[in-house]
Amino acid sequence: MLPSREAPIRGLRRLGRALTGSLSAGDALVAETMPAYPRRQRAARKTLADMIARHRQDARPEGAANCRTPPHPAPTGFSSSDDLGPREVMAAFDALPLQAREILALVVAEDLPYETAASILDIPLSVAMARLTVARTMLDCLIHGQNPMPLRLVQ
Amino acid sequence: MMTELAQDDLNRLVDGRHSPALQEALSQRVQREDPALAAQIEAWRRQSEALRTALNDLADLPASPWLALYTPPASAYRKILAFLAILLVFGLGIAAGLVGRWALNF
Repeated sequence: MLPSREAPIRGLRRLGRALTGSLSAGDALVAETMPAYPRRQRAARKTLADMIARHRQDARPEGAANCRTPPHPAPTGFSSSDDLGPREVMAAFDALPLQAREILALVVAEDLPYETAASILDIPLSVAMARLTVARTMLDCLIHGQNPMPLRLVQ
Repeated sequence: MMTELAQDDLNRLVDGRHSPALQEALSQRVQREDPALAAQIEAWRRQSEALRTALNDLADLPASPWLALYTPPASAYRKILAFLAILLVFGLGIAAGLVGRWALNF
């Protein structure tokens, strides 16, 4: 557990882990970004944006995630999200493309408003919402190893 | 029957970001008109919760050594206190020197 004086770092570590796929690489990303870590909320958002930008510079090109093959061997009896454990969800999450991980990390893990997440990612709100829907669809797909039900979406 | 939902409404429904009244009304409508979509929304909700819990648990693990050594930047208040402390030590040094000189002359 981190000491209380370092509590603000917890959010950055969470984002670092989500972006990089490993705790040590995430910590390294946080350490690179942290010297300018500010206390004010607005500046903290800038720190999140800086982390994402820094990670994008170093990120390798990714292949397309294949929903037909789960990224992990499904445990015996695993048939629904009711049985979803941290190992299963993280394996599926780590198999997502970077854009999907970014939006899910900001909206789901950091619980940021959609507008703030869009601002951090420097994309329009409508694009952020579309990415969020696709990310959720892909995550579900990767967890269950099958294509999700078709959704009729209205822009 | 397939319910038509805007992406904004769909995601807000999953994340519980509608007003309570609208959240309830939309949930009931989807449940009534499209149980498959309602099940999908519920699955996404559980997956979001599982992802949040997993990332929180990971963030609570011990930090890497270089990160554990990190000390947050000092606040302006602490900087002022440190400056005053340096001034005080410097002043005490001068005072001690003056007293010593006076004692030697005495």
